[in-house]
Parts: sequence; C-alpha cells; structure tokens
Amino acid sequence: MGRISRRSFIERTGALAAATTLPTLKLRGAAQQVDDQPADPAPTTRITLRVNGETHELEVEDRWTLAEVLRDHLGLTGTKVGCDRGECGACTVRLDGTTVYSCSQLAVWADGRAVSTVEGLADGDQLNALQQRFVAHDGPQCGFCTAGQLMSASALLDDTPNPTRDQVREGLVGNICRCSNYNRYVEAVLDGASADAPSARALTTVGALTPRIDAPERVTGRARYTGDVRLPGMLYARVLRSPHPHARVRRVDTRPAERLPGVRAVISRNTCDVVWTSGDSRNDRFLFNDPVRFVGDPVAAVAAVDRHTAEEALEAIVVDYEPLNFVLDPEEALRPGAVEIQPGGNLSPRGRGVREPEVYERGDLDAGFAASDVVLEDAFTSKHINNAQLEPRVSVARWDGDRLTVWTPTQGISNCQRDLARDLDLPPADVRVVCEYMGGGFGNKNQCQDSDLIAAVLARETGSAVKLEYTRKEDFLGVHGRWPTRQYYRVGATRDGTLQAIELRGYSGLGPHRKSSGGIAGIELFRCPNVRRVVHPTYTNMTVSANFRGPAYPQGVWGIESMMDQMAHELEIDPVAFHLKNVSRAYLDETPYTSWALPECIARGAEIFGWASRWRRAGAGDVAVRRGVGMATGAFSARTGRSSAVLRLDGDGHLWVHVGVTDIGTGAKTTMALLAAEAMEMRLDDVSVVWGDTDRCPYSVGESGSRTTVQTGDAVLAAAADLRQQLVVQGPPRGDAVLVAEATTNPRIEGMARYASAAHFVELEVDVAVGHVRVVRYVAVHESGRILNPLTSASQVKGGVTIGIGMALHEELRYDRATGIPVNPGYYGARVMTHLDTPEIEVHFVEPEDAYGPYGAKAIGEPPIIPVVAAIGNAIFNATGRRLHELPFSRDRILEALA
Amino acid sequence: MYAPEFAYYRAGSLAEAGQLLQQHPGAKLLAGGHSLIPLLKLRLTTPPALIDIGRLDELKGISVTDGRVRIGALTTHAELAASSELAARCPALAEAAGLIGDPAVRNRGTIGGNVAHADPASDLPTVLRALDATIAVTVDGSERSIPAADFFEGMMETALGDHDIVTAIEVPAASAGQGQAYIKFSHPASRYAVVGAAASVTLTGGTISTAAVALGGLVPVATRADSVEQALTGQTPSVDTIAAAAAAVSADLGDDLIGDIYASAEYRRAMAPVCVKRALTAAVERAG
Repeated sequence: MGRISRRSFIERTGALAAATTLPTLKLRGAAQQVDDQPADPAPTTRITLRVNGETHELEVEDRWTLAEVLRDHLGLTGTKVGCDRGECGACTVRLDGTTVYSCSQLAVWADGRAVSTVEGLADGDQLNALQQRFVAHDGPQCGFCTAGQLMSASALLDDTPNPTRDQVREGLVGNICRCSNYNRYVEAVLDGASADAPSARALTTVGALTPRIDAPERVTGRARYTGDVRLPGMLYARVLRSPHPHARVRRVDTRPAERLPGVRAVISRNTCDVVWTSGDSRNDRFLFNDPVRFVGDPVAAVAAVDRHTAEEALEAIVVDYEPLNFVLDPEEALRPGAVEIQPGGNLSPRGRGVREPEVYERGDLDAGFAASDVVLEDAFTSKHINNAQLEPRVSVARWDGDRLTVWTPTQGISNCQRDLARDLDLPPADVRVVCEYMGGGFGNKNQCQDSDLIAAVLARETGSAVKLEYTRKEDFLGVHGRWPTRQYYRVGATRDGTLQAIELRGYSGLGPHRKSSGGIAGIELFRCPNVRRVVHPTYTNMTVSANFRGPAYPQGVWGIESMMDQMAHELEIDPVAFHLKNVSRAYLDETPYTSWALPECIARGAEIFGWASRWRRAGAGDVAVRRGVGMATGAFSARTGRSSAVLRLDGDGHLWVHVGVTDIGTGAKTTMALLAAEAMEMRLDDVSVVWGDTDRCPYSVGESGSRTTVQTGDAVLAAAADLRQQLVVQGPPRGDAVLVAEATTNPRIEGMARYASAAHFVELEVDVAVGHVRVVRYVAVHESGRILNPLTSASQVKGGVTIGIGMALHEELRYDRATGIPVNPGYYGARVMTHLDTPEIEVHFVEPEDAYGPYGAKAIGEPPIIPVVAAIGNAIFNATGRRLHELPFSRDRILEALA
Repeated sequence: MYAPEFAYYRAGSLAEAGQLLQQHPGAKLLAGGHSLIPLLKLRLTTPPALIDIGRLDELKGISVTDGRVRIGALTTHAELAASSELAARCPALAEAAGLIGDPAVRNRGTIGGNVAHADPASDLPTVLRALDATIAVTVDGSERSIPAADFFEGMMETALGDHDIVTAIEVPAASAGQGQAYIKFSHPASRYAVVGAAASVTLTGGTISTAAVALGGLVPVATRADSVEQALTGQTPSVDTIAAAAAAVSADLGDDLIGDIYASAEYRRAMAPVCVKRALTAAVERAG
C-alpha cells in the first residue's frame, strides 16, 4: 500500500512531469473504476424559481437547500453560508418579500415563489440607496455577513421606512457580524448624522475619512470569496474527525467508503504522512495523527463528486479507537501522573528543546515585597474562545502538471505559499496562493491551515480540482481559538501608590500542539522595579489554541489590570490617578518608546468620559440595578519589518499598486491605495490595488500582528519615492510604456520600542435580580500614531471593543469534563455578540508624532480588544463590590458572586 | 452536515396530506421547516419522506367565533405578532410570538409546527397553557380538539398520533377585566426561553377573581403554576401580594429542571419567581 509522504509526494510529482497520465495511488483501485454518479440517485423535483425577477426552471434534489441552489446551481454566490444551521444570518434572502434563512429552506419549498438576493439590489453598476449608505458608513469590514445585513435591512425599511435605532437592532438581530461592525451597520440603516461618516465625496489623502475602495464589491455580492470559486470537474472533500479527546487509532478501514459510487479518493494516516509544519512549531503534526489528541483531530478525508456523497462516505469509514486518558486543564496536565500528550511531557519546550517555563525578571522580587505596605494576591482563569469569523475555512486546490494553485482565505499569501511548499516538498515558485476576498479571521487564518494541505493532497490523488469546506463546527474545533489561562498574581505597593513588586505565575493551555506562544502579556504596561513572570505553555487535550486578535493580551491584561484596580481600591486611590502614576514610561522600564501617549490617552479618556464626576469608590449598594464605572489600558507592538511593494504607472496615468495583502476586513487595500495616492500626489480614483495572488504580488508580511499598514505601507512609500525619482528623470510614461518601481524595506529601530496604546472607560449596569450586565457607555481612546483613515480605523476600534465585550460577558467554548467533548461549538452555543448586545462605542484618537512607519502610523487592528475585559471586570467591581475571577462574567457567576 | 435523502411530496389538500401520511410510514410533515430542517441536517431524524403542507390555505388565517379565536396551524409567528385581532383578544400570545427568535425565524415558523415540535424552550406552549387553549387535530378527515393541558406530554412529546395533523389552535378571547402578559428571560442569541412566564389575571371589583400562570423554558413541558394561582385568587393585587404569590412558584417546579451551558438549572430555579413576578405585575396593570 502506497504512503503519501513528503518524499513520495515529490517523487510522484516528478514522475508526473514525465508521464502525462496521472498515476493515482494504488489503494484507490476500487473506487476509481466505478461510475461517478451515485448509484441510487436521490429523489428530485422540477421547480420554478423567480430569482431577482428572472425565472429559472430547475431539477433539484429534494434535500437541497435554497442556499445550495442559489450558490452552486445558479451561481449567485453573493449569498453566503456562515453556519449552515440558521444561526448566523449570512444566508438571509427574501422569499416573496419576507426574510428567510436560505440555508434552512428547502429549494423545493420555494417552488413558484420569488426570491430576492443581494445581486438584485443594484441596477447594473448603480448601487441602490441602501448600498450607498453601507459604503459611506463603512458597513462591511470583511463583508461576509453584508449580504444578509442588506437583505434584513431592506425588508425592515420596506415595512418601517423611518426606524428607530432599537428597531434597526431588532430588525437585524438575526445577522451576526463577527467583525462586530454593528455600530456601522445601524448607522447605515438609520443614515442619521453619525459623528464620522462622510456625507459627501471624501478627500483622498491620508487623514481623511475614506470609504473602502472595494466596498462596492462587498455590498453587491460581486466580491469573490474562496467558497465562491467553482472549477470545472471540481470535487468536494470532507474530513472525518476524532470523537475522542485522546485515543490511539488502532485501525482505519477506508474501503467501505472507497466502494461508494461517486467517491474518488480517501486518505488517512494509512496513506498520508504529510507533516503540517505551521500546525506545530515543536512536534511533528501530521495531517492525520496517531494518537488523536483532541475532539476534532482529523482521521481521514474523502473527495467525492458532491458534498452529499462525500458526507455519506465519511459515515462509511470504520475507525477502531483505543481511548486514552485525557487532561483539559493546563495545571492538571503538569501534575505528576498526568497523561503524556506529546513525547517528553506536557510542558511545551522552549526553543532548542529546553523543558522549562518562560521566565522574565528584573530587580529583586523579595526586596520589592519587603518594601511594600500592601501586598495583594489573587488568581484569574480565562477560557478558550473561538475566533468565529463569519467565513469558515475553505480551500480549493488544483494541480496544473507540477504546479499547485490553492485558493484559500489566508491572512498571508506569502507565508501560506512558503508553508505549502515546505510541507509538500515543492519549490515555492511551483505554489500559487490566491485569496481575492476573505470573510474575517482575527488570527484564525494565519498562514497555511491543514485544509489547504488536505485539499492539495486530494487534488493530487484524484487529478481533479478539490474544494474542502469546513463546517461551522469544524471551524470551531479544527482550527484554533484563544488560549485559556490561569494566572496567579502577587503585587506589592507602598502606601503612596508606588508599585514595588509584581509576580505572575501563569499557565496557558495550548491544546495538544504548539501553534503559537501561549504567552500572558500585560505586566509590561506598568513601571515597577521588581518583576518576575513565569509562564507555562502547556499541552492539553482541548482543541488547539493559537492566535486570536491580540493573542496574549486581553486575558493577561484582565489579570494585571484587575490587580491594579484592586490595589488602587485598597489604597483608596482613584484608579485614573493610580494609572497615571504607574503606567509604563519606557518599555520594561528600560527601552525608550519611539513615541508614547498612554498617559495622554488616560487623561483624555477620563475627561471625555467625565470620570471625575462618575467614579466613586466601589461598594455594594442595595438598589436592584447597580451602576459602576471602570477603566483599563492596553498596548500592542507596532514594530517595523520586511515587506515589499511594486508600483506600476501606466501611460494613461493610472497607478497600479501590487502588494501581497489579502484584506481580512481591516481595509488594508484601501490603506495601501491611500498611501500610494498621498506619496504620488494622485487622486485615489487613479490608483488601483493588485492584491491577493502570489503570482501577481511581491512578498508581503502576513496580516497578523497588526503589521500590514506599517510594514507593507513602508514598502509602498519607498517604491513611490523611487517612482517619483524616475518621473523626474524620465518624465511620465506614454502609450504602452510603464514605469515600474519595486521596493523591499526592512527598517530597523535601534534601541527603541514602538508601541500603540489605548485607554478604555466603561459605565455599566448590573441587574442584581438576574445577574445581567448592560453596558451603558463605552469610551475608547487610542494612540496608533497617525491615523491614515479615521473611518476604517474607528471601525476597527468599534469591532475590537465589541468582540471584547462578548469575551467578558458570555463567550466560552465549554467542555464536558467527564468526556472531554466540547459542548457548544457554534454561534448560538458560544454566544458571540449580536446587534442587540452591542452598545455604541465612542472612539477617540490621540495622534503623537512618530518618526517610523508610513507617515508615523502604528498598529490599529489588535489594540482595541486588549483593555476591554479588564475595563468591564473593573466596572462590575465598582458597581457591586465583587470581583469575578473566572471568565466569562455570565449571569450565574455574577449572581453567585453577589450571593 | 447535510440532510439525508428523503422524498418530497406536496399535499394539495388536507385530505391528500392525510393520505400521504398513511402511504409513507415514518414521514414527517413540513410546514415552515424551521425546526425540522436543522434536525435533518444534524441527522437527529431521518424520515423517508417529507409531506409539505405549507401551501394549504385551509390551514391559514385567524378568525373569531363565539368568543373563541381560531388560529390556522400555518399562521406564522410574524403574522401572530402583527395581528390586531390577536392583540385585542389574546395579547399574551401576540406578545410572545413577537419575542421569538429574529425576523427570519418569525417569517417562517408556524404555530402548528411550534406546538407539534413541543420544544420546552419555546414560548407559545407556555402561553397556550396559561390561556387554556385547545389544539384542533385531524385524522382520517375527522377533527378533534385536545386541551393544551393534555396535548403537551413531555419534552418534545405530544398527544399527536402518527397520522394526526394539527389544523388549528383555539384560544378563548380575553374578557373585560382580564390582563395578560408574557415575560421571558431568553438566550440572547437564539432567544429561546431560559425561563418564560405567561400570566392571565382577571380583576373583579378590585380583587383577583381568576389567575392563570404558566411556566416554560425551565421545565420539560409547559406547566401551570397552581400554587401561584391559588395564592393570588381572591387577593387584592399589590406589590406584596404579587411578590408573595410569585415566591410560591418554587412549589410548582418539581425536580426535573432543565439546565444547559448557557443557564444552569439552579440559575433557572432562582429566576422563576423573578420572571413570574414581572409577568404578574404586567398582567395586573393591564387588567386594571
């Protein structure tokens, strides 16, 4: 039986170059001989659908949903499927005028009825009034939920032409936006006088409010996401996953699946030992592992002629598991006798195999505590929560001879290309990665994910293009979410409010693979002479943890800011005054910042919020609804680094900006166009961006770490400077001539640290009868250097804060401790924020001069989520006199704390 | 997941729907499909056939005769919520329907499908219990009426036989001096009831002559709160009498409370008197 290893893979690829016929694996003999049609066709019905005024006669399988028919059979891919179970609302269409979830309607049910989709809203290229408002108010970030929001809003406005804000929230409540741009969508529907939406055509230079250049694509359904890619002869793949948190795989019998008509390939550990290197930086993580180490670990994958057949094939695969002991909690995983999840132990090794925790220290901790008048100790537990971006992971792979093309929603086409080439032993030039539009990620779509590799292997095996779509549940369990932590703090201060010592002993649960650091950040926000931080990144049998917007920060900042809030309380000092005294003035009290305005953010926020008149010392009153205020801070690296850009100025005076960005929803394309227009002194309309394709774009740093504006932006400016020089020398190009400027920049900052920062202020109410928390007011003041586009930047802040509120109040992937099975993967289960949950977020910027980054710009994507949980926790303490030590601050935990 | 294979039949009449049910053992009726399609996708049910009754006009509409409101089984939640007739005669039912899910759910979900599904987290069964509704059911061309008290037997269990079709829900219209309210604490995203309380209170000469209170969300099947009702009957409504009566609900809850990852059984038990109190307060206000 053949095995698909990296070595054999490349050998077969080599053989293919010589022979034009495709030698698929021997084991696939049985299935590949049979007819591609399912033997027993599913029942069908002939129906008539009127879609956007056009009549279609169709033969549909009775089980097909309306969403399937619209997308797969009518090519109307503007309607998106985010969960396929009637929870997220992305698939909302109008059926005879009323909104329905097209994923939860049978197509046969719609026979003879009129269907309206997003494609029917615009008149040719002329957007309708609502679409124009969605563009002007910066409604779509990633755009994946936008069609649903538009359809619900259209129906609402038909019934209620002048809705109130609450009516808009009610009318759109079924439409989840994980970019959490709810404020913007509500503004767009109301079209009232919003603080920062441009009313007329915007200016086109840096610093002006500029709608996204690709927003029209996102509000019309024309934007092509990976799931919308259909190739001739394309097969559909599905993955079989472990139901056990930890088990040996004694045997996988794929033959019953291979025998099913329509099944074209089945791969498992029997035949494939490709290592997914970016899935684990310390151990070999295969595409299919033995043992399986979490519920959802892939065991096998199939490719078949359609999704339904692929799914039936999964059920035919027989797997014999030998369940092993499992451990979910990182501290328990480090105790003697705990089951060993990876060879060598459950403490994830530091680089070079050293099995020790990560340690940072300065000063003399014992001396610091000895010098303290007050020493506080406390512990905090944060949970695993999923990124839950609206677009689940989906990959389409096709081989053209030896060359692989993968369409995938990745946050970095360059690093995805590198990863795929490494894992499949291919020259990077033989791997092309394409990402036109993507439906969010927040770190979930960094680099290459296993779906990309599985699709590539199945495409190789079958000789056909293969599309692999993860379900919402698979995306919750099979990719990654935020790492859970337990944090033990000891903090000492003198009576005058000066910090003397900070100690953190922390544990983070990585799941069974080290896909990111598992760090616990936040201590660096405070100046203190004596500090010790010990963090244990630990393997567990929960689903894998890795990057999610500000990966190490929101949970760590919650811990340390809770300690600081408590210290201020104990010392009877106003938290704002305590912060102004103690927040960092040099990174780790050592390295100067390139620019730093956190104290100014705090002071400005306190003033806008009216802190002085609203804050009173925490204490429990006896009213039914208790009000409280809280504040917290955050900072995030805005480092410079390598990236590239190519600018091409053509004879028509049009500038083409080639950058390897993918635009996860942050507005990266718009930012790059703005920078190029500014640097070239051109109108934004005369600038186009070429993005998302490794064949057409130079290297770009991935859209992770909030680095794209700074790093790729620097490269755009450098290329523009070169282009302007060429123009001086050669004059403008004429006819078919093109002036080309390429730049790769990698600016170094010697002896300084570069950080963005923020201070957040919140007022909330706690209904003590039911434990409900309602955010009344939220003020976020951010310093991200120069704000290149206040419109999209404020959207980033609003979205980040809103996700943070969900993390604080209700989000959690819960596990049944007896079985190790996660019980609530999905939008309703994990309780992400909705329109009705979301308060107005007030956004303000402080803009200091900074000598680095494009025009002094810093990071803006990740900072907004960082202080939120801490600010809300502190406000709950202020309202009730009780501090909660476990996330989320759910109703039952609040009642328990009040009891 | 995707739905397993099934055959689809569209009934042109109630009689034909009955015949199709007889011909296809194990078949399920499809009305709005809002509960059924997710069950199919999860493969929690694998019927060989679906019989679409969604186009039967005879099952649609709201009519009032002799003090009884008859609501066709295919009436959607959106139609219930928007009906002025219902708002005047069964206000708690209209109120509850408007609180279900979100617009897309209310546009497709039907009252008949809702009662047949008998989800304990649903809102309408609770109201129907409080209002002493009856469920009209046909089999083999003959219609019978089942009181809500007998219809809802347990969690997702009803008195429906294999070939029964729910045709209508009948509710007594509110009389003068009667105030109704439905209050729920819901899961914020799905808006399923964590605790739901329906109250109907009739004031006669300043005292509570009758009180009907039903609970849902936390119990396996919508249930009447007898202790609360007894504590109220004959009383003069006041903040104190309402609070005392609401506190009595703990005697009506039994031991088999629902708990899930969003709200534990203990949390729901603690919320029951809070919810009942709020429903009674609103009902008394509207009665006066």
